Amino acid sequence: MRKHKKSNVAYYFLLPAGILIFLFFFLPVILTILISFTDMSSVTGFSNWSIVGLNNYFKIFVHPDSLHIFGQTMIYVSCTLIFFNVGMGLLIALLAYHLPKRVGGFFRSLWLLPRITPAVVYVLMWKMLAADAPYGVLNELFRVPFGLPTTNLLPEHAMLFCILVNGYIGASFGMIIFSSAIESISSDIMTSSLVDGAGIFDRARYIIIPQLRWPLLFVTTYQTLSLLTSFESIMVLTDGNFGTEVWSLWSYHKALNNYYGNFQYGFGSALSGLLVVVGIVFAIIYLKYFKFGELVKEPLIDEI
Amino acid sequence: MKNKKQPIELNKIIIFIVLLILSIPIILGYLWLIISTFAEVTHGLLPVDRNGNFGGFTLENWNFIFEKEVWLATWNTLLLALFMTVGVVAVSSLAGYALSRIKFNGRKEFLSLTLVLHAFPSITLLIAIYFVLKFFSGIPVLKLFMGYNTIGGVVLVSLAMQLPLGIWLMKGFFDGVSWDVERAALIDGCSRFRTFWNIMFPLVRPGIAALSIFSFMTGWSSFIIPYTFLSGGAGHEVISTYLNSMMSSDTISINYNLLAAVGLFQLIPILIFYFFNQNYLMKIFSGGTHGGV
Amino acid sequence: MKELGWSAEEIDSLPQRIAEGSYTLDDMLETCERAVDAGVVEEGHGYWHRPLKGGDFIQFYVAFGGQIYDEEQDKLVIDEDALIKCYQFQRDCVESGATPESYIGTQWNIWHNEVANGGALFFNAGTWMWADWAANYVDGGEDTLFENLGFAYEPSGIRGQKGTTLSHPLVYLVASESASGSEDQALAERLIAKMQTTERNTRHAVESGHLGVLESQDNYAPYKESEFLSAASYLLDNNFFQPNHPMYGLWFDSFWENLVSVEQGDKTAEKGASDCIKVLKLELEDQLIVK
Repeated sequence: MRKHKKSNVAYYFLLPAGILIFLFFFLPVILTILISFTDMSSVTGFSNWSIVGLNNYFKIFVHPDSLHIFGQTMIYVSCTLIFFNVGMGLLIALLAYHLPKRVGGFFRSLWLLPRITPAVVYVLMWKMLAADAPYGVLNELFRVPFGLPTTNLLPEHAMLFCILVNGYIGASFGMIIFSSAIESISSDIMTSSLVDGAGIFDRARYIIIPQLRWPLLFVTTYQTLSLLTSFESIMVLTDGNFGTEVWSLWSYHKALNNYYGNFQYGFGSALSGLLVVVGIVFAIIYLKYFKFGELVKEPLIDEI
Repeated sequence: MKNKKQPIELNKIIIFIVLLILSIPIILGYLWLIISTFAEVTHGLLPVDRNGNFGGFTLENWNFIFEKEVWLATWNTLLLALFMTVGVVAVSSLAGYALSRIKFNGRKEFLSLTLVLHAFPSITLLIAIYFVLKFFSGIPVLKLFMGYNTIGGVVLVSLAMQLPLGIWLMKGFFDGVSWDVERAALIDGCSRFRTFWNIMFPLVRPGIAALSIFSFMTGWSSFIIPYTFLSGGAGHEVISTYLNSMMSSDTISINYNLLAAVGLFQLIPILIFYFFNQNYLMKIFSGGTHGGV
Repeated sequence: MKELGWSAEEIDSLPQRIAEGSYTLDDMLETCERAVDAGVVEEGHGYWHRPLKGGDFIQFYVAFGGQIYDEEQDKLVIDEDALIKCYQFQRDCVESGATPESYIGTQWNIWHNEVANGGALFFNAGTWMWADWAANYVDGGEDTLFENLGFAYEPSGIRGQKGTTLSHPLVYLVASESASGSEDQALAERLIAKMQTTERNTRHAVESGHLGVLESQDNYAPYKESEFLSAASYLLDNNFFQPNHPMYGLWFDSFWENLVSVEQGDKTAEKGASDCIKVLKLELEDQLIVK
């Protein structure tokens, strides 16, 4: 006879995870919102602050820099997403598929390197690519031999380089997902279409890409969120200078890290609070539309 | 047949060239790194000596190995990576097992929660986490292990951020183990925990391996968490923050070749891990396996 | 400068004239223009100020009569007129050909190399760079530097106003028990006292090119023997500091961002100044006095 008693021992198994998730996810979300309602900063310290309600959010609304920073963030997210995370990811996956296995594999490994390289080292490489002659690689290779004037490319094309730096990391995510999706397309269809006279470009356009609709949507949604909130490499690359201050970096600078050590916890929390809300909304959308079918299968073994 | 073959071969060559061109920044970047560590000065990709003549090959950039500073940072980095890995594997396995094998109230909700957390950008919570750590800094014994500006604190934060992925991954691996062995153990009177520890855990070794490697690499490369929650300076650095402070110094002349050497120093263990474990890593980077290997 | 036609006398008297206020920032730009026209100096190498963000830039604001801090009221000040003039000067540097438009962001290595070897006619540097240049960038060390480079106050923007310079002394603070949880305050104080000796400070000063902090150093032999330090010490007579106000960081950030925009030509000096003041009003609220 099967007993249907539900188990309590599970809670012990979940306790460590539960505590950590509470301490570093739940609690911080609540704290972010609470602190954003105060004027806590280096000036007030941790004991002299007061509650200011929605004042910080109002400040964001009227702040002269808000619109510009929002705009820059949108440019950064959309360009990196379209041209690299999705665009390049798809392109590399497609191109690598058509090459012999080992060659394709070589390129896929190469494109994974930016992702696994420690951020500071990776940005150092890019800084040296953009640097002025005689140290900079791009200047030395492509400008000096032609007698062209050289400059540090970074300040002039700061946003472009931010997009490039993050793009080369981001492309690998899409590349892996699209690669496995392409490989799971039945090989019968793949070969028969060629036999029927389609060129590889036609096959890519009419057979492969339509099959990638769900992976494309998934990558787009998932990566939008991570681009919106990540700022590590931008910080190391330009520290927000030259017009590259994106929203998440603005929040970080305001509250935790700036040149003269003036920390505005309340204002910074309001800035990141907006991102937290966006993050929660996106995460729930992601959950609803990309739920993997098998998730909630009931376990077959009951407590005995 | 011959006519069909030629265009395909030509296509492949074009594709190869296109891929190569697109990959140029990556190739140039790594070339620069490797060449620079062994040259006095690097002009572009060319190793030169101080006067600008070709050559300048030297090992002097690696002299930092003989000084204490980098080893303090390395030690911290190692502690961070190790404790984080052990922690992530332990906590994720326990939680993953329960979610996979035990019927309990709230199971569906916890699973959904894991997914939501997996997608949620935890980096937005840095400010609030600072306050959480500061709170622990106020508690006498705990402050050494969990407070602000301790390695313990950094470990905990990093660990927590890895959990959504880790739990999902381990749950997937447990899902792939057959029920029979477990059923037998439970019927024989084993407690859940013994079943877990003695029987199930060993059966998901590939999962443990994959998660361990990924966590260790993440911990070793960590930058933003140690940067935010460690105040820097000797004893409070990891390799990433050490390298970063050298890169942005206002008053000390920046020696790019030395930077390259330190960078390569940090990169080598990662590359070793990577080349021996590519399959595992590819799967994890795509967001977790869908159950089983 | 000799090539430009300046006599040795004129060169030697320049520091004096700057100190008095008879040679201003505008005069300097004019000299640059003439130098470029005469082919003595490369275009864009007339005036090289600091290439990256840093407190040095407020010297230009002060040079045009700007006030930063009101001691009595303990508030920060922003002087719109001086701000506009300061921003305009930065833009003039570019428009007169003394400084390239995309100059901000130049790497330190390259900057040091150029300036130390006489690649720029005028430049804005810190005394600590002298030691760095002698050690790392110039063949012949200090002697070559003395032969080719001179130093003076930062010229004023207003004729008749004395030249000035920015000093940046740092203060050691010992955290209280309630702040740090440590009980070793007395030990920390003793340690600091032990380190703040004439000998140690002088050694630091001479090796790194920083000016001394103790008055006793003025009479201390090794300090006096350092040719550079003794020659530069007079600059401490007319210096100012960045204010010790907790919101100064916000003041400076806004000042800096708009300065960059104006210099690079993205905004006019008037727009940059008014944007700067708008942000300052919002962020500093009652801690700001607007002139």
